[in-house]
Amino acid sequence: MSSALVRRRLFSNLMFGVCISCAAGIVSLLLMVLGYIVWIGFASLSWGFFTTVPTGDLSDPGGMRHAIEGTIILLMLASAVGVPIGLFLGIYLSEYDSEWYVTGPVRFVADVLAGVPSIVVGILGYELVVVPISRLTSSQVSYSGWAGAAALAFIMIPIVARTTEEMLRLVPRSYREGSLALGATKAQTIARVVMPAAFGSVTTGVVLAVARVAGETAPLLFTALGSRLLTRNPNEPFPSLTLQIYAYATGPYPEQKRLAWAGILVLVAILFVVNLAIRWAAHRHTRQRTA
Amino acid sequence: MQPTMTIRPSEVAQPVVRPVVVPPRTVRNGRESSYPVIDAIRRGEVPQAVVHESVLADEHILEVRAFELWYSATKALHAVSMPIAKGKVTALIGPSGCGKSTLLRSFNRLNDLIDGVRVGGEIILRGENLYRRGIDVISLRRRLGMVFQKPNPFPMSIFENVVYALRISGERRRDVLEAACERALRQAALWDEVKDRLKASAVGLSGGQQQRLCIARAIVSEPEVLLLDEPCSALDPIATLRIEELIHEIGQRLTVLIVTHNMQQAARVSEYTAFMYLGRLVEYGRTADIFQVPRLRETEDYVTGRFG
Amino acid sequence: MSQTTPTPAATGDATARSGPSRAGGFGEAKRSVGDWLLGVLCRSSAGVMIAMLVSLLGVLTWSAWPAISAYGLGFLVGTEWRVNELQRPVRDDAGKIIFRDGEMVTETVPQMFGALPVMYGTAMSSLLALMIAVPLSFGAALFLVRVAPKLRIAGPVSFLVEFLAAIPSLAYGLWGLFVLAPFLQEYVGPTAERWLGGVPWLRWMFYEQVIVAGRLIERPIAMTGRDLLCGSLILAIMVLPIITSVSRDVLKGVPRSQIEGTLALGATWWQSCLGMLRYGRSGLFGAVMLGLARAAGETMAVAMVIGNNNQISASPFAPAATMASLLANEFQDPGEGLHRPSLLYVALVLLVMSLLFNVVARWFVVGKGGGVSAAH
Repeated sequence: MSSALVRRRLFSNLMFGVCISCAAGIVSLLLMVLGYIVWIGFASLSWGFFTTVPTGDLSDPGGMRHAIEGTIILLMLASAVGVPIGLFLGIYLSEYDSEWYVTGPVRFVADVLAGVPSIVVGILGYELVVVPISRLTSSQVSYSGWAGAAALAFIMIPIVARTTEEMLRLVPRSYREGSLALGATKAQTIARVVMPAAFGSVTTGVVLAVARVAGETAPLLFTALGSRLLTRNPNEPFPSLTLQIYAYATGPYPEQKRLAWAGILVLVAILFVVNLAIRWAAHRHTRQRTA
Repeated sequence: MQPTMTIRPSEVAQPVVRPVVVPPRTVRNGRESSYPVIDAIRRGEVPQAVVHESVLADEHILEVRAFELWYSATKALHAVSMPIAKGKVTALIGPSGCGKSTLLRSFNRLNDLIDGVRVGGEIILRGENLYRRGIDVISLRRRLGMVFQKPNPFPMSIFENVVYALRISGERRRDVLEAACERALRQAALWDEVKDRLKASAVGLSGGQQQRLCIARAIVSEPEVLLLDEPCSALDPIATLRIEELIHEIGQRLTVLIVTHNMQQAARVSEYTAFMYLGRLVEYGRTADIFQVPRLRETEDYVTGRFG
Repeated sequence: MSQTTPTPAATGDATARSGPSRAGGFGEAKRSVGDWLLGVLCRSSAGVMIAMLVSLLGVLTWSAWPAISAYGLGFLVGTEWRVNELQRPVRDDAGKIIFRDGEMVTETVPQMFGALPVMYGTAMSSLLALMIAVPLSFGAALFLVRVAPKLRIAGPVSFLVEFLAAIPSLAYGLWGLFVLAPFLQEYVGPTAERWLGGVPWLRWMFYEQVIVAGRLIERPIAMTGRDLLCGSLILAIMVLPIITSVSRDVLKGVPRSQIEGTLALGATWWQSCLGMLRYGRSGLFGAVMLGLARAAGETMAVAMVIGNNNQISASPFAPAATMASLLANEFQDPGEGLHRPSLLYVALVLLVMSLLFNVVARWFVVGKGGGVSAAH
């Protein structure tokens, strides 16, 4: 065996080890970040976190119940607008593709909008919602939950649209042909056959989009602004889990920083559970179908 | 679609197609001639189809008149003219790409779904041109049932699959749906096998069962014509036999048009057979005649497997 | 047989729901209410999407217009970012303060805005992040495609990598702020200085030159841990999952025949991997571009760890700012005059840049790289 071959073999084995360590490195980075979050966050977590609201007391800052409720309300408002528009857009891109000279550009725009930095979306929300309302009510700057929800919906729509389209495209053409051959209209075909066939995967896409938006901070910075009060009124500055964590983390008070860790643990834990549950449900769904 | 001939009711009963009477094939004096009709077709001509007189004996339900179809720039059907006998099974045979599926899908205007399709000529059903401007395609499709090559049951329960056509027409009464479901499943020879599990998902059925389900689904609203596009090509031989028996039975009540690439199947199930080649109708007559005493050498050699 | 002129088949849309009449006629096609309604809803959502893009570009441009008209494209090369006017004593050539009538002569240095520092910060942090992340990602992707399937751990590892991508930026920011930055400040910075501080041509890493009291002096950079290096590391961690998963998809799409072909010719494992990388190079380039687009637009984590000093500095140990972090920090309480329009100008630049990256990335991943789902 020539020495050149031996050298090549050795090098190949070396690179093999390098690739394994790359993967191991990435996984351990993840585990390290998660580990810190769990370790420090858990230590700061208590039932009070979920049930109490911020006190003015710096040594005992209370909890984040207001922020949790705020996030839930913001997500509901954003989904009420973002999910329907995203679904219809996804249906349009998939089922009306015969008008390709329109669907092509629209699809391109959706892809492009999905990549807009979320802080820019927040600034748009500020200019489009907060500023006009401030002028109308002639008060000083009127941040609101509506503006925050609008910014979140803006982010949600392209994501929901593209995943819905991809899932609808996976539905075999034979279903549509069979339905039309039986004398159904296009709307009946989509509503009775195509959407139900793609239901599981479309729902997965929607839930993942909502989960993604739940973790956003930047778009809320200049729209909802954040608040220390427990409020259900979207007309005023609105709290959110992410905003509250950010405010506490970048502030100077150590007790608040501990709360920030607890908050991020809660957020990451919820996202983890949602991701896991969705993938498990999807896995089970496809197993059932093809059985 | 503007036909160049306006159809007046008085003209409907008369077929436009005049059959060409060609004497039965005799042995040519030893000289091996090639296939003149095929050669003409390959040169791009549209030779007159050989239509046996026997075809005209039965009452007709459908009539194809000088029908043509283009997929964008490619012409797929060239001036096809043929009557379809009512209450009988008619088979369309021919090598791959001869246009038989395209012709079949033209009856229920399923080709409309493809971008760039253009048609010429007419297809007449009960005196009405199916391609006239403004016709209600939805109700047209309800009058002609179709079964596809690969069984395509919807991902719903067996019951929902069968009654789908009724539901989209607005029928909601439970008793009516259930009665229609049972009737259709019995006619499709599937009732005994699934009557206990109508709520089960249709996807769990075997291939042959799925295809029978698709047949039941297609006949539940009692169409006048059933279109079958190679219904057995995705099935095993036993399932194929069962479906062929089914076709035979259904053919007693309905008009059936079946496209098949399997000559023996055509010989088994149909009363009339049409042989197509490269988008043209070549010969059309009683199945027994086409297979035993065809008038064109091309037809004989195709059905005996010498080419195609 | 007469030839009829070919006419187009009616599209399946305008069809109706009239009951079938057995007597023969099919009735006229009426518009189905359901079809019409669905069509309206779907088409108007498409309109909404277009309106979103138009409003994004339009509103930003309009609000940034005062700055655009004041600075033009020179904004992109301007290095000063001064929110408040400065009163500065005037100095003569020797650097001494000029007095007149017993008082200092001061000059007013007006507001001035330029985007070059943040563009530099964005570019440098993204580039450094990619330099770290791309080799790791490619290595991990090769592992996932070539090695992991045999060990049956491809599924769990892929899930972990994708979950990494789903972790919100805020979490990385917290970790970076409270764990990584102190670590860099206490250990990495001083260690690097001890080992490399003596090297003459690396002096720029540890010392900076500033003008203090009119004179140019060199002083050591104060290491707070929150600097360009920390920002780049956090960005690297954040783009790792997306580059890894897209690369994995691209490499999965390499046909087995290609891999077997190289092995049959006697290639080693690594050489066949190189073949895979070469085969998928356009898709891999798209993956890197996607990572770049994400890195450039990343806000929260970067804002928390990069130090937020809007000046260009060569050293990775100096605090910096990116376009996104600048917006996060300064948009809240704008100064007067052109501050807010300038911030909006920066936002516009950021928007255009990320749109460009995304377009290029998608063209490579979806168009040429082929086969990779665009839903990334």
